[in-house]
Amino acid sequence: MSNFVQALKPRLRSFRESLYLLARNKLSLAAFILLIIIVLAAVAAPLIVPYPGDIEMDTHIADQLLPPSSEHWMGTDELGRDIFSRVVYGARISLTAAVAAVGLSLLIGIPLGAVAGSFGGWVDNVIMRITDIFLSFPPLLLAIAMVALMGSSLNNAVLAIALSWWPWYTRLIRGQAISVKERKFVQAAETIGTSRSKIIFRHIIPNCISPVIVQASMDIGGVILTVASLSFLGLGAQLPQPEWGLMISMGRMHFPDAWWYCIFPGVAIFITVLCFNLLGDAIREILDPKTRKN
Amino acid sequence: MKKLLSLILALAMVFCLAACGGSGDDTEGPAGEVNTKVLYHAVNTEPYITLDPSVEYSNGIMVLQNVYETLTHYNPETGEVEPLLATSWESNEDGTVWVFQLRDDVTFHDGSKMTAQQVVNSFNRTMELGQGGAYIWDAVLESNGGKVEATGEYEVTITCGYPVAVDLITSAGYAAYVMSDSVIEQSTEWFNDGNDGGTGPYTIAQASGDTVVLKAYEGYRGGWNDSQYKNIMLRQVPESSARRQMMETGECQITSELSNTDLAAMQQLTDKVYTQQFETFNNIIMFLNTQTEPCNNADFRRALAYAFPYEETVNEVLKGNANQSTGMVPEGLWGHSDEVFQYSCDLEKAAEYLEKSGVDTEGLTIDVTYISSYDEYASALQIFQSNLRQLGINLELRGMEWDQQWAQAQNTDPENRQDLFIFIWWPDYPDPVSWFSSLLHSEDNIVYNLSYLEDAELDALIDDAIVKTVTDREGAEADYIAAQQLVAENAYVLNLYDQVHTFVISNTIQGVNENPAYSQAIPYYNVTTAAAE
Amino acid sequence: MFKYIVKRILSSLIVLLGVITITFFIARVLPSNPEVKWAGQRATEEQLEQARIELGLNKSLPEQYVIYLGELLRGDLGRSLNTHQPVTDELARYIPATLELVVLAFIFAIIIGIPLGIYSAKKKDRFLDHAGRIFSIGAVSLPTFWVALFLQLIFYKTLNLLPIGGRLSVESTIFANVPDITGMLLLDTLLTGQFDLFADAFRHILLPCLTISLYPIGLVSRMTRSALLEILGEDYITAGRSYGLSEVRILWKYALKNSIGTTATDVALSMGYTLTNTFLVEAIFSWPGIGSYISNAVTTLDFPAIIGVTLFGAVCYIVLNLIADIFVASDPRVRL
Repeated sequence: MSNFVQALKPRLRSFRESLYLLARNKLSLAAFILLIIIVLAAVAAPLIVPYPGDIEMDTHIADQLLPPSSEHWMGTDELGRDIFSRVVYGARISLTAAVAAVGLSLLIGIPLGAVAGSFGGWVDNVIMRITDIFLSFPPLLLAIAMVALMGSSLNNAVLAIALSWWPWYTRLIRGQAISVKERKFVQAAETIGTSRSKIIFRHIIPNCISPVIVQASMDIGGVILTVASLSFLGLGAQLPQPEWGLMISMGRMHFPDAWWYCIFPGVAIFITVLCFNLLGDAIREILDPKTRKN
Repeated sequence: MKKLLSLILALAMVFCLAACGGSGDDTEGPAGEVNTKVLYHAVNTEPYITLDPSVEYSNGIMVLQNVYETLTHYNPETGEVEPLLATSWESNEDGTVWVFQLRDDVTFHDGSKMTAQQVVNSFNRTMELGQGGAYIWDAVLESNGGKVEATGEYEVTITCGYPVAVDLITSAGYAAYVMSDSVIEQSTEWFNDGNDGGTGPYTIAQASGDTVVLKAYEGYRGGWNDSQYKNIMLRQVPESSARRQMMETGECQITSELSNTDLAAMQQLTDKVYTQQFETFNNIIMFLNTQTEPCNNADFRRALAYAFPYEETVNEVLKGNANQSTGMVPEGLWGHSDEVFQYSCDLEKAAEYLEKSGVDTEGLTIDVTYISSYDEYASALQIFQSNLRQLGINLELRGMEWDQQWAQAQNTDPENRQDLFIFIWWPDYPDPVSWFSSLLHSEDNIVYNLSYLEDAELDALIDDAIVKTVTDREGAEADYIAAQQLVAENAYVLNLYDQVHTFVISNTIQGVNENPAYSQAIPYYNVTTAAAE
Repeated sequence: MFKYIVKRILSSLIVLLGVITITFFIARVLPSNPEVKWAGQRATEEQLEQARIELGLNKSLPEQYVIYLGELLRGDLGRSLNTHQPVTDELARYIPATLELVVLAFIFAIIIGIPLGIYSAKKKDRFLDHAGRIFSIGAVSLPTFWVALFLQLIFYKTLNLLPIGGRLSVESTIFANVPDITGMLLLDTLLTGQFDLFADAFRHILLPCLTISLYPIGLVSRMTRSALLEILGEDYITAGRSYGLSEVRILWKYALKNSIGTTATDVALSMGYTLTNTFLVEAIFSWPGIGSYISNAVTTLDFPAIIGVTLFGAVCYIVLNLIADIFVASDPRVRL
């Protein structure tokens, strides 16, 4: 595995360059900073929220649906819990779920794509047809069917999303692998008799992984939305977990009178996803030499 | 470039404006004296699953109760069965042979006259199809030695294999409808296309999954007057906030199942709407898995019973749209008694019983399954969870769909079943028997006995009550009350609350009523425009 | 070219077979008791046996698979466990409503998204470009179900301008002679010349359609912008400029024409995504489409219905993908 990191290093340097380019665009920079704040808040959530007890088990029915005030910045929900605490903690749930889903997809997608690209022939054909099959299931529908079968829980939702998401990475890395495999160092390795699996894991994957990682980080936003959608439909997180989609689903019963219940988790989703997408868009521009030319 | 863009935008604007302005006045004027009043009832679920009067066993009662009729009808105020298509009836001494005299002035929507033979054919169709609620006719099945015969032009004789209260069965809201001979051979598909063959005040004009349109049957024996509604529309509007907004704008006239917040807002809107509450026979029950640790321990069950937030659920979660249950049988149905022991939320007592039970709470987690789309369960269970936490017990909430919940409850290995199970129950006809025979009586294959009870004393009481129902109603009642006391003392199940249906009704109409024996159904025939002030 | 298309169609068929096989096994292998749902919760053992026979569950799995394929070829998706109706018939009833919604959403996306993209590309890095960027990225970052709630509140309750849900007003539903040719009300009312009904239907479709079109609007405008920028950077455009061709002419005649291929592909592919988005929106707007249908199917674990919708979605995706590929392939600049 250390070889793997070794091979990744030159890529990381160009990542630093990208950061510089990113800093030139104010909007993207703002998104980046905001995102760091969100991540930090998510990590430190149990320490910084005013009512940590409200995250899981406490209920105070007498304080139900209080409007925002200095005590409860985002008001309270139908069981008197502090929405601010739950929204902040929700970042933790959404980010973890999204990273897990994307990570799982990468775990399936990268080896398959690398194998398909570097082997070619019938192996490539079989893998890519399987990929096409999974691609042609509408993602949300596949997730819904899976969750309906396996039962609803956040873990199952993450698994279902990963199952419908990996083909994108397989496609991407296959394209990369095809071009990398023609490069001199790979051919050199082949001539000295390095085993196929070694070539794939030591040379091909490290050399085509960076666009996939970039794509994956851009996808996080979309996956957060999907997680929220599934929870909104009751197919994801379970009560009393403070998942944003689930909170909106409960809050819409009290909309528009208790507007705060529905609005704040929605805003949280929007801002987080927006940041990821703005950042992704900026990265795409930086990496795409054609649009940079102008 | 700019020109094209602005042209497109301008076109789009004109299009929108034309569309926005176009409606409203196009349907009013010309109709003149024809009754074009529409009563719009916005419902939260699909208004039917099928429209086959023999088969439907679900929401379709909303439609079918207005289109078809039954021989008898239950009056919740008197607790008695009253004549509807039948004028009178009597049974032999042991309740196995029942003779019904029918009205002679009833016509079906196809114009044909109702005779005894058509009633017989209707019941036979339902029994032959054997779907939905058809099980209520089990005693009349040929295989059980029963039969239905026309013994005169307007006389039907029903013979049962064993004693049952047939007058209660013929009043059921499912599987007891009378239909015309002209539709008896038709398939369920044919009914679902919006066809019917009933005797009720309305006929089905349109049915398209989410919408049903009913039109007045002009030949209805009760006649029609101008204040009644001859056009009824039921449409599924799933969101509470959408239904509430439709009441605010006056687009619909009746709705129900609003969220507390929406309901509270409606109660402020007195110049437009009023609310009306109806007691129901629906009650919410929590089953405890008496076969496995830790709920096989009676004191542990009692601890749970004292930890459930009954009052908070009724007052805060449901805002008074429910009553705490006393026993299994809801108020208004015979077999109910206020004397049955009732638990209250008392965490000290709960702690006492927990101590007494000897159950080690260290790392103890129990789970509860519920239907996730029912918010009130979720809220009540989260308070319950918070209470149990104070006793050192972890409660895991597992929201799911009904089929999943039920499948898990029937798992062949008791260890794989849930600890607690919450659901709603109502009788298929006004007889308390279903709470006892279905939910509490021991059974070889688990169907609805979801506390998995095998209590011989309880079984004996239930069996005795069933036999006495026909011949000795008071004896049956005494049995049921004793059974309920036994259940409460052992905390076999927790009787949480009896539902109250709250309807929001436009000030422009009056006469909305819901009979607990036919929950969900509103007899639209009785609804009229509100008297002008 | 012809050879490519044939090859492409063949591989689509293989993918379709794969999709069908997977859905079949999801439905049959995983634990569920379809016969209990079919026969009812109080069914006797004989009734359950009868149900197993009716549903074909009494045969071996390979046999069931062959039968299933045969039925599919005849357009038979089995019967819904809830309603006992053929799933094909039910889909035929619900699909037009959804299709109408999605197609109109894409018309919106093109009418709004493409000009927005062109404008952004023309004014690259200027204020309007940034505003356009925020708008289009914002549009794809919003939770659809959340937007739907707000649009209702604004346009129905506050402004009382547009209806809250459904496809037609109460009066039209009951008293008008609603045509049923394609099932798509906008089209049908135009075909029969019932402009009042058309206006009514249009008012009803506007809000759900706007909600759903947000995502493709954002997507199309971003795609148009980047495709245009790419082409505007090409040498032949610079050459055109130096010949003194007007900006408008360059933009429309050369740049847009050449960028439309890539945009079309993305539009076609995002349609699949939009189709599932309708799922979240239809319930909120009481739109009786396939999303509402599958909501009911999922909550009752009606597998034939769930699978019918999934297959429908997959077929849509495969066909759109095929069309997009052929479209791109027919571009003479693409070498195969």
